[in-house]
Amino acid sequence: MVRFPLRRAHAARLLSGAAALAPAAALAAREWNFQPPVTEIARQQMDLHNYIMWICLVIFVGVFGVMFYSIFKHRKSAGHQAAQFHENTLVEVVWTVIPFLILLFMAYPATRTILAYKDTSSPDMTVKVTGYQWKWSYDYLQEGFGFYSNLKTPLAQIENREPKGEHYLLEVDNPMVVPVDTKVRVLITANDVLHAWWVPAFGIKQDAIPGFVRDGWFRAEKIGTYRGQCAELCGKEHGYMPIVVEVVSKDDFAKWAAAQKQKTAAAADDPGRDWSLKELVARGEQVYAANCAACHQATGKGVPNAFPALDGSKVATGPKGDHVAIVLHGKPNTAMASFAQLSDTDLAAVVTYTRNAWGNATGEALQPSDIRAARK
Amino acid sequence: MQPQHARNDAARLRATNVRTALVLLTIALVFFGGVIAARFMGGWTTGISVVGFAVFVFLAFAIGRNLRSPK
Amino acid sequence: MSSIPHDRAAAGHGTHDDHAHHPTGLMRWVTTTNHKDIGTMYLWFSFTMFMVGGVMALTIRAELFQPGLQVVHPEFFNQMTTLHGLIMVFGAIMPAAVGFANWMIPLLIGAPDMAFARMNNWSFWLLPPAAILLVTSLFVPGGAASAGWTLYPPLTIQQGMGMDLAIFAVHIMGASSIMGSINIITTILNMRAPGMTLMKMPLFCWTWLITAYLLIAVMPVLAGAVTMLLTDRHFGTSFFNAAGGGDPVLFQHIFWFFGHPEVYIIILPAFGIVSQIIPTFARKPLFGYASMVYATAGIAILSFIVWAHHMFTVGMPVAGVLFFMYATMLIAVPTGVKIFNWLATMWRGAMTFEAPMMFAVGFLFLFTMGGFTGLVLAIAPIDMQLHDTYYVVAHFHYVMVAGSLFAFFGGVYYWLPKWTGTMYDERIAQIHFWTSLVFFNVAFFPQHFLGLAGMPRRIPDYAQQFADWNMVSSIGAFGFGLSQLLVLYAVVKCIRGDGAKAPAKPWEGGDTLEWTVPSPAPYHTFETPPVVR
Repeated sequence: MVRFPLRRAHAARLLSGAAALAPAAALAAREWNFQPPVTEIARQQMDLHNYIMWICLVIFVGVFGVMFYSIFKHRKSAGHQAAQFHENTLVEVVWTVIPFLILLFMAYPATRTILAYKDTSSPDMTVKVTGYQWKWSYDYLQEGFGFYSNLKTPLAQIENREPKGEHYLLEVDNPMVVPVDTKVRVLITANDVLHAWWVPAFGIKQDAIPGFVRDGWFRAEKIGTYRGQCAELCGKEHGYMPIVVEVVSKDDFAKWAAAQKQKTAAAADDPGRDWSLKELVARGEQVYAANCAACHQATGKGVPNAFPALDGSKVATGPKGDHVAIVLHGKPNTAMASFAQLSDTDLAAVVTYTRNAWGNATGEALQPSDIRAARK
Repeated sequence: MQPQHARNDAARLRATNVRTALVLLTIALVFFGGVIAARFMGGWTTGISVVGFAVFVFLAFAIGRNLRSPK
Repeated sequence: MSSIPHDRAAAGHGTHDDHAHHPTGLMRWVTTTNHKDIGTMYLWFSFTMFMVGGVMALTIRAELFQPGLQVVHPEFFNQMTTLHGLIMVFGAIMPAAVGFANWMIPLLIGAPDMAFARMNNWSFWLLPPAAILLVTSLFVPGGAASAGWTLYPPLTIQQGMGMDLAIFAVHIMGASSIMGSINIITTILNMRAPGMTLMKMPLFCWTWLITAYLLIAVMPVLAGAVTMLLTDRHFGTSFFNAAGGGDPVLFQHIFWFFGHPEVYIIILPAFGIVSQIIPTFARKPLFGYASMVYATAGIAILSFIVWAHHMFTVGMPVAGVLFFMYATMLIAVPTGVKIFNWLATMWRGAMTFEAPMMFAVGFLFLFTMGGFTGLVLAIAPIDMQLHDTYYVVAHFHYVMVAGSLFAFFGGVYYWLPKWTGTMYDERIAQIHFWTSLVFFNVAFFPQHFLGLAGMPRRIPDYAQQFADWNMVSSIGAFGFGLSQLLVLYAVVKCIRGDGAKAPAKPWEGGDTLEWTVPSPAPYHTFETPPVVR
């Protein structure tokens, strides 16, 4: 399981990092505080953090000032004789009560912020966010369209065969788009395991729990692109399911939403249509890349001892019915989840593709109607 | 449970020790069973609260009863 | 605290005929029921697991040295983070604490041995099989458990056979802990020397008494939780499966109902050791003994009602969030009392700074930083940003490594003369302290920055803006790992008798019972109980 290559590009980065050639670039690699907040909640969180850090710092300096004074003055080598006192009720009461009072000063603003954080009432729009292994989907409930959002960073960058881009690991094919100055309520759930939807600049983090819908909200005040990541361990690609939210003007949002609606309508497939093998394989390859390749690999070889190969597998070359059943229902107690959320056409295409890709050459084509029948 | 002198009365110490151990073991078993059973009794919050409360009572009882009898 | 009598009965060793039948060689260790032998085995086991877990930590840090994947695959990375957590918590820190308890509690309360000597042997020998299960699970099909040491379902349900092995290992280690705790409580309650009331016990015994109660209360809860995972995986139940009417969040509640007291199980014995060391080297009695006991009990009780602060982001009702936030903040009060008491013990003492004291002072300083970041994390709105980031990783390493581990190192140097009869090499111990202190901070302080800037934990690869601090942190981690070979060297040197011969009381300020027996402590001590004034 161990791989070695420390590639040349990397050695170069190591050197440039050490030399800190370009100050701007070097600074960007050295972030040390909260990302600039663009919502009221995120700003309050940052202020609260600063406020509490100052209190802690003052106490810390005071307490350890006393300790270091004692260490330098009350040492045997300095000839200090040990006193023998071992209690003092007044002092003990004082240092119990004062910390308690300080805590009250921390609790008050914290309570205010958490009440606001939790108040998801009267939103201007609602988007349903679903976590999958390993991507997000966004459904605009009122507008009636939705899409998946996959990592866009090419594998070559991850494996150090190409230099890394500016937004390495924080870029997606289809970002979530929301209008500025609008209270957006997000309904968050998951399809398979726990995920967590987190955008630091908005100050929102909410676990996505399969079978349950939780909510949160944000009102972004500045147009721009904001990036976050899945924050709950969800399996091997946990580090590779970023979140990108584009905040645009209200006009731009209306245009974008109209275009999305049109696209959805155009993409709606005629369910009765018969597909040719070639069409199915072409579409199936895309579906495979987005849903299956993370585990089974683009080569169909899987990962030994973890994810089975499809190339030459009994399932992909055996009876069609069993193959469809596994894709629809998953395989219990393994990472193979149900993919029933995909459309009939996508499922027919991907099953057809795996039965005809690599060394598999069954020559069989499944039609969307086959999947529809199998769902029943 | 006064501190005992093992030499003179090893058997009595042994019996006291076993009694203490059995009490502790029972607690462990009740908690193990309790946390699973709580799920079947409906509200798991109730189950956990009961278990948690039992811990308090037990702690207070076990420590308190030894504090009362300083030698 | 007890002051010391004139008992030399301990030296009456060798006159008893039962000594004649001791097996020698390996069988001595397999069959031993002697608390000192068992304590030694616990400590060696713990150190071995510390090394194993440490290698895993360094694998993690090697992968995170730079962005991109260089050393391991993501699924292997996840196995490393999972096993590192399980091994360090259950294999390194907890057994080390039990090792100290086995060695020192009978000596500190004037008892001849632990209450249940044979069960003591059994509770130790359960640990190696558990460790073997965990480590060999790396080689089964599908690899080891990779769902994080918190084992959250439904991810755990997806995993291969490695997860079952991890679950069994947790069962076994839980059983071992429960037996150990029963033994410790019974010993402390029933076997104290005449005249040693509970409120005269050395504080180490108090913190362990309370720790043992915590263990008995929560280890069965963890065992229950993983048993439910096991039945969900193999027997068709759906405790945690929404499709079958269960709730994945239920597991988190149960796990953290165990997990938060577990945090104090890890730190309270360390508090106890520090409370022994500081008065000795300040040559002054512990300040506020009674308030120390009450603060320890207070922390233990509060630990049962704060668990959900580990789950602020699951979407609890706002009343729940507020309750758990306030309760968690309250823990700062008894913890503060303990810190102030230690400082007051040092105040106007006549301090010297041998290695045990250095580690105790290092503990005070760094543990307090971990305490402050804990307070920051307790503030729910801030936790919404910091939950599951490297800030949390930094926080718990400050309390577990700079807290517990530093205190344990202090304890090792403090009692090594008693254990081996030889003084440790002060120069090596001082170097060990300073390199540990510096590299620890190089490794973990930058992780606060990473967390604030938004780097999630448990990821094998990261965006460019996190690159520099990760590199610094990895360098620190390797330095810290290598520094730990020094303690091994120092201990081996003592065992080989390479050093000054230790007197019965090597520390001028020591006033507890263990310093009344010769060094090294004879195989059997206090067969006639000492009399405590």
